[in-house]
Amino acid sequence: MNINPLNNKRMNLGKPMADKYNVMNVKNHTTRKLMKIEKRYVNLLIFLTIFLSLYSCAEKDESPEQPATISDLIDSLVSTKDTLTAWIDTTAITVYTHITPESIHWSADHGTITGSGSTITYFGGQCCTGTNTITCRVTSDTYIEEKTIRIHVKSYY
Amino acid sequence: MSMKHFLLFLCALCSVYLLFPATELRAQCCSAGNPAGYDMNFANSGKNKFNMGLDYRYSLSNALYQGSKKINVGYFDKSDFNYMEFSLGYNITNKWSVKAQTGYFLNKSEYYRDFGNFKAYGLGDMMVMVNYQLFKSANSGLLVFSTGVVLPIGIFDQETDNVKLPVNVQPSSGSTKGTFSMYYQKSFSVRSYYYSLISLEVSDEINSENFQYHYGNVYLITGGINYKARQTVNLSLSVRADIRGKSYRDDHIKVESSGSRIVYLNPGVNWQALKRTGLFIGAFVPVYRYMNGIQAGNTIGFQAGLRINT
Repeated sequence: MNINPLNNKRMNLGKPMADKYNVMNVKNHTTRKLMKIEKRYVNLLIFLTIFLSLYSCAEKDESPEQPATISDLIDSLVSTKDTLTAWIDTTAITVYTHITPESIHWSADHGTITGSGSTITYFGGQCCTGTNTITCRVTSDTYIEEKTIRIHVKSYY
Repeated sequence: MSMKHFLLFLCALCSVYLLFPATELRAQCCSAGNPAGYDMNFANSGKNKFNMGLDYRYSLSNALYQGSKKINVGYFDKSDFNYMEFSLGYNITNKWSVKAQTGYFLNKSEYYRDFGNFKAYGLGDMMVMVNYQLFKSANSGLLVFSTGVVLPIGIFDQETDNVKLPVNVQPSSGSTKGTFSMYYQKSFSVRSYYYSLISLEVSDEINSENFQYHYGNVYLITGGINYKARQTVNLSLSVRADIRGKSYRDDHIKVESSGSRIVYLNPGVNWQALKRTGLFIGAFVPVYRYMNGIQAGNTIGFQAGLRINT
């Protein structure tokens, strides 16, 4: 096997020494080759692992069983104003309910909600101009109800 | 030959620009999704090679702008984010390579006078892209085409005290996007080269129960020079135009206060610390901005990163 450039010096080293050298170099070469292959596959494995882990993050957990929806938990959902000027006005929105709720969740399609519980404050910047929907979800231990209210945010100028 | 390639590249740039004229751009109003960095690591270093990157980015917006004019209205104080991005690339051949990158917001916050602050954190979007290196030579330079998809794998419904945080601070953009970019690089002396990048991002519509929104296209156009100051130190200076059009909401109602045109000056230093490891830092300094309507405008940006090539 003439894979070793040192083979040319083989005659000068004497047979046992040269053979030893040869074996060592073949071993080194094979080891290097194996290490290269290993590195390639380990790298690929790392890549796939990270990719799959990240992909799995995207998969949503199955939601826990939700309470049944009912339509008489919320008595009313009221706002102190129905039209706001962007960046300037705020409004208080209150949910009235005849039960002691387990939780009250709020969300808005555009704009910002501050506070929590049965009364929150809503406002919107200039990028939220238009009619926006604020959703309130009340949950008791067995039931859940959602109501929405619409607030118009008009331009600052 | 090199002039021919350069002209071809310019023609390609122009045709993209003509196909998507600025007047018809529609883009994101809020700083949704992963922030753009300035990774110019497009060269294919050879078959079966990996490259990894870890970036940190910070951005601060502490003023509202009406057009180019700073104004002081309402309760807005400032917004900022601290963001980490991880990327991993693999060269399938000497021409083709794939890259995946995703980011994590340590915080993405808005601060208001009287109302405190709103802070979200978590996984942002993920981008998977395919690069094709058309040519690479001393005479012609380097030309790389890239296309990819941005997947909204991160958090888009984060709550605090059972109240959903505003869309602006949600870590993920909530929308699937397609991207296309072209990168060109050419040496003009032993120590220097210039580079340019044009990139386009097109968003899909978000259509959930109570939220209908369409971010428009985003253009990033970058041109810069790189100078090898020392054996292991490169200095770069680029200009980046960040063009975002207007967004659409609820049955295609135009969001007037969305979209912007911002030009950044982007100085950077790259240090090849080890044979396969490089470190870089850079800043984003806005030198021109035009915000449609009234919007918060970026004040300063900072980026630091690590690159490892196998």
